[in-house]
Amino acid sequence: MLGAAPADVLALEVVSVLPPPNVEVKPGVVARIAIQVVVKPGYHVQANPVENPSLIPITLKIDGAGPVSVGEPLYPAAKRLRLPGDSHDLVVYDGAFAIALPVKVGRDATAGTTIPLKGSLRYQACNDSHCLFPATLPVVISVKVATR
Amino acid sequence: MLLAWSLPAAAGWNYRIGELAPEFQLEALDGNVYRSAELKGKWVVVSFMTSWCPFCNAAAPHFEKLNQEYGKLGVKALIVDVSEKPDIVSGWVAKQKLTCPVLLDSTGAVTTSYAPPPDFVPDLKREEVMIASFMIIDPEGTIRFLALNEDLASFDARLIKLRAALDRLLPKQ
Repeated sequence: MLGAAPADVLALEVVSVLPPPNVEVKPGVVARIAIQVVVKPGYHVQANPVENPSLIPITLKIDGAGPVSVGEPLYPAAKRLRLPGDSHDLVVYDGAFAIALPVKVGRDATAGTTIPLKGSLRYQACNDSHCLFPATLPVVISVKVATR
Repeated sequence: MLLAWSLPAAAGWNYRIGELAPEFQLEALDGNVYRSAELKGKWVVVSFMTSWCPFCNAAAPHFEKLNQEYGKLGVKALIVDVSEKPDIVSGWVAKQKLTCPVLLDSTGAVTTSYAPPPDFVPDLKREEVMIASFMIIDPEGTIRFLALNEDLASFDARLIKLRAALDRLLPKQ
């Protein structure tokens, strides 16, 4: 990368969010959109839910807009990890995984309309030796109203 | 004068060992202001922690146990919380039943001043490198031990290496 990256960028490079490119939902239908998340090799993020409430679970927050309403995200099953000397497991995600987001388009929505849904992904990442400050990524999902 | 090689570094390096500990003045959760100058004459153990850090959560009960045991020998244990809001730190300290002073480094500047140079894990912020690290400072204010994590295997939740260093360094009773 050319130029000096601001310090805040460091943490953001650990996690990437890949919203689906062509989301079309019929009016009156609830669809589950898969938000792909990729964690840099060697790192993991705290899962949702966490077992230790002091830790910060990865959290997707997406707001509904116009005729599109959004349900609670569904997180995948976590992997278990135990630090040497600890008496409790951590629950984490690594590699690539998907968070499912229920989306419903109102019955009166106009077919062909595209509605951007805005939100964020908050996470806290660690590797085998260090933990990074919690970070938040912006997320935008475009939902096109399909014909009935 | 202490030589850096007088205390073998457990992980193969000895960043900051033999250097004078940077000066600081930080407010603690208990409302008191702690100044490094006032710690001169005491053996001090410092850990840099955050409530959200899994390594810190794993080590915190063992740090409290160490505080109880070595406090009887005159060792002053301190936690420096890195860049968190006091109410969050307060809840975590209560949950972990920590009794040592918890100093609030709200900007991370003090933590950064204690960090190793950028050649150690260069892609991380200096505060991030220091989170879940443990340090011993002698009565003259010299850093005598710094445990930084090198990999998962080197993580020492039970603080075995820190205890061993204290046992080696403290004057025999």
